[in-house]
Amino acid sequence: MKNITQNSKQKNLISKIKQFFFTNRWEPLPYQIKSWEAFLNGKNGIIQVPTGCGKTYAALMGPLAQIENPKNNKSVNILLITPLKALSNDLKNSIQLAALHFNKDITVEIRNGDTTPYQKKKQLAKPPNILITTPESLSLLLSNKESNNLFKELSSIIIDEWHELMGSKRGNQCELSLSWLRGNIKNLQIWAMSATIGNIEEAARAVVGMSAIKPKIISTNIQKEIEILSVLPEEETTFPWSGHLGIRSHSSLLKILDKNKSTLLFTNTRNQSERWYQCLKFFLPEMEDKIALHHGSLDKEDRKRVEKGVKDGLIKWVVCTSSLDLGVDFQPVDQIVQIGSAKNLARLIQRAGRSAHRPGGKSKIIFMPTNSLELLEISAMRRIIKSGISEEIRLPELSYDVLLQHLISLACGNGFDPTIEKERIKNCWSYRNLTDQDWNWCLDFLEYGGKCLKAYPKYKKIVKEESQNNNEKFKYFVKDKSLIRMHKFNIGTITSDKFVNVKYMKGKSLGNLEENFASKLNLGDTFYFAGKMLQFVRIRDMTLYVKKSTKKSSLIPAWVGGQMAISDLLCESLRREIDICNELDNFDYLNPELNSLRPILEKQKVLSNIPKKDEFLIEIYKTKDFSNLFVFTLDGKFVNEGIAFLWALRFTKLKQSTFSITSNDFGFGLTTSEDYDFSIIKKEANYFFDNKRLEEDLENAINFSELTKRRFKNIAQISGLVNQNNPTKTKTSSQLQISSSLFYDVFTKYEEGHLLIKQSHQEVKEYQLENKRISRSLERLKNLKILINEIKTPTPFAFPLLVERLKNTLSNESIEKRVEKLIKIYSD
Amino acid sequence: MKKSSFKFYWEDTLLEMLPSRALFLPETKELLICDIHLGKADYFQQNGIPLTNKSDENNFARIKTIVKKYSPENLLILGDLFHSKYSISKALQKKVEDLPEILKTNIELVLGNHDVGCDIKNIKTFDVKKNKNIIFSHEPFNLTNNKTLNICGHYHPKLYLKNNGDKLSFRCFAMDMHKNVLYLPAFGDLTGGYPCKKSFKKWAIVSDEEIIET
Repeated sequence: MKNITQNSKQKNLISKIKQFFFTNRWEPLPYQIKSWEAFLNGKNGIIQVPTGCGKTYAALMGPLAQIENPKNNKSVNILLITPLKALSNDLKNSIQLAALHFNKDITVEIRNGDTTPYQKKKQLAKPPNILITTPESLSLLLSNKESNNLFKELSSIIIDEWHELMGSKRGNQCELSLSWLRGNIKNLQIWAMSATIGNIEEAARAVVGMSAIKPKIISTNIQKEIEILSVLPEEETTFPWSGHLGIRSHSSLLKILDKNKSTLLFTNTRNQSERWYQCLKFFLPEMEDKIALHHGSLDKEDRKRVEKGVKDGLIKWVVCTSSLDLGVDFQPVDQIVQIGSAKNLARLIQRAGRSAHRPGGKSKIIFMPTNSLELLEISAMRRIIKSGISEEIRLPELSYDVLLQHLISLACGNGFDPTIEKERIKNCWSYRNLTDQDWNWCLDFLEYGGKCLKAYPKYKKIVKEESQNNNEKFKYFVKDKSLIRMHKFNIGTITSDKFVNVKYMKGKSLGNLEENFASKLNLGDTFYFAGKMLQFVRIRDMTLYVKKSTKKSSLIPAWVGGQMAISDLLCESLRREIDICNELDNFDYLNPELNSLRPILEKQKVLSNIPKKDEFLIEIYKTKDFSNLFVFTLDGKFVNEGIAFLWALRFTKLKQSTFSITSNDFGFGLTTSEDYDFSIIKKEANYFFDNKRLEEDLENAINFSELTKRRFKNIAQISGLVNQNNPTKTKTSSQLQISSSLFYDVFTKYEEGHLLIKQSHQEVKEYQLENKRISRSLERLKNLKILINEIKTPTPFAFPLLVERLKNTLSNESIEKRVEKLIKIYSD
Repeated sequence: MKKSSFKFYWEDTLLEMLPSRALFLPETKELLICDIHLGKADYFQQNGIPLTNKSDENNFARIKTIVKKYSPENLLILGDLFHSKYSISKALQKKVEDLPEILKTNIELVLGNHDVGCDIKNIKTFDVKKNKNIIFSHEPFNLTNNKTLNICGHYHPKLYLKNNGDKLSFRCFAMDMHKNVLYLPAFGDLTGGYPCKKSFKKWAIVSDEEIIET
């Protein structure tokens, strides 16, 4: 009987949802109906659909339909977590539209870093029915004593763009907050939305927790059609360009682009975006006011102005970086351009998706190579899209720093009982392997500061407080008010290097630059930033004062972290693609990219080889002054860099020398200024491909402690050792300043087995050196047939590596000129 | 050039830069150190940041070693003996007050910005100390004539060397040749440092026994 009433109730709700669709003249998609049914049946899970297919309504209509008496609710009913503040407003609008359909009293509010303290207070006193927030703001809420009341009657949590959060420690932060909410609130339903990824089951498990019943995965067969149009070199060339040199071929791009269409031009680095912005303005003076620049280091106000300008149609073209990847839903943009390799398929699809934000709409992207070998990547991507395989996104595991931060947050709020909390945390996917020993270490660290601090009574971050009715039980709290304040200012997992503000003398802020770049400037130097030529005047209190300049300069700041390597999946298909290049006469494989690459590939074949799938190509190029070794592993930039360091070390062990190293996604180059016999690789193959001593050799080859120190900087900030923001700039706060590297030294010296030090080693090995990928790569290469070719002129494959070396050795001189010279030698 | 110490004449006063982060004036038998920041770890602990106090023990031990080696008549500390008045425990206070007796030497302190509010017996304090043609201070002193040398602490000078992702830093003595100011390296173990101007002449401490001129 009960079942029947439930069923009819469910049917009622679904028809009500459908009504909303019909009044808006939309047709619900089958996957949307499936999502509503699954939700109303009490299930948890994940909805996996391409961007722009209406997943917000798929996930939200169920929970919305269930809100019964919105006016009398004393708690938030639906919590929506989104990775970007910029997404909140658009989400709010579309939810409000739907909410009106069910009940005009349903309230929707946003809570993030931009919310005023007054609004925040009001939200705690009178909670909205639906709260939209970010992972950071949610953590902050948990550090508030009011969190218990605020979420008392919470019925569902929806996580937007989960794939985006998953790739970083923000994913861990989210998991931990969810674990607390799940533990405190009964019958909570959790759903996530994600783009198509390869490991969707893992993603779903991370959302619902380890102990939950199997999460429901709803995917659709909506295949978003993607049209990729590559800008092909106009003339037949036999040499590939490299790096930002793609600017040289801007004219072919400008021919295709429509000046009146709204356009996003995506670049991979901020440096590149500045260059392209400069270039476009120069060649299209009539577009001056209609082209804008947008990247993460520009002033927030300026960025907002650009976003608004695009929405209002005043700005037509925006040169941007990943800063515009998500967020800012300026309805369909007419043209999308990707400059340089997108490095992975997900990013290309995401960006292309910006051109058609409607279910079933066709998305289109124009690809502008900066190096013609990148055309091979596009060709490979076409084949991946056709096969329907997706990339995997990995959640970081056992991030102790995020765990410590979470525990302090809880202790600042309603306190935590260690026995209960341990179980909740071990229920998180990324902490499922947390040992009791590590857990106890974390508690010790917070209570006593670590093993060797046990004797010092003054240290107390968290303190025990016995429960009033049962003195066997206790909870941990942070009691010190200033500690609580300090902690709240530092919540979050996004840390940054030291930045200096860039300001005009008159006071207008332009954005920020890395301290490193700023420290190299001399009085009167000019540089290009925020699309303007600026002259350095002085630096004071972490602010770089500048004035406008008319002097020309080629100096453009570079920001660390601009580099990416192509994904595993892409590497694999790239290797297949190159294998295919051996059979260009077989028209089955041919596409526009490969066709335009023909002359280059033929030249490669004549000068050396195009490696087949069972071959491994190595080239040796000797000039009067240098010996160069070029190795083409086709395994992504980071792996190449790792193997380059490894081999350099192994070469020097066999015969003393000094090498300089260059690397890209295709391979790496080793250069030495003496006549060096590189062919020993063949004789000593076992030594070079040896995997057993990999870790040890890598640690010797690279200044390992410097790398771990850099990693530790971020860990120290997240775990609250070093404060990112000082709430008040009093004397006390300056006496509390200490560098993370000093912590690193002290911990390594005095405290064996410090988990945060261990974590920094782990992170370097996994994310920086990518030991596992290097080891897999060596294993694969070992079984291939080695081709060693002594070449007389650099081959098309080696050319980009050669140019890379020029770029590294010459900082300010015109690289373009040097490259031209090189080409001359090369074409003779 | 690596050496176990560097000698330097100001007018006719001999100054000896030691790798043990101290400056020795043989003529007056004075030994100079600065920026020890005792109690720093305690201060951090009180504020919920875990750091071990072993550095204080280490600092005392190193003071004892150099005093034994050079038997100075006066140990002059150029400021920041303590990190903060809020983190001076009774035990620490006593240890410092007993120091002249244990070391069998006179100890003087030129007060630094971190020493504000500290009250220590058995140690004579100054704001600035003058001695013939040398002025001893914590923060650099504005000199009026070019025959005078200013020796000070406060700055924690360090020399940074960088190369292709590799980075090294050393504590150093630094001399501002234009203003006649000699900055001493920070003595305390738990202290960081700052890069100094290119125009400064530097002597870097590369190990406990070696110092190099750059």
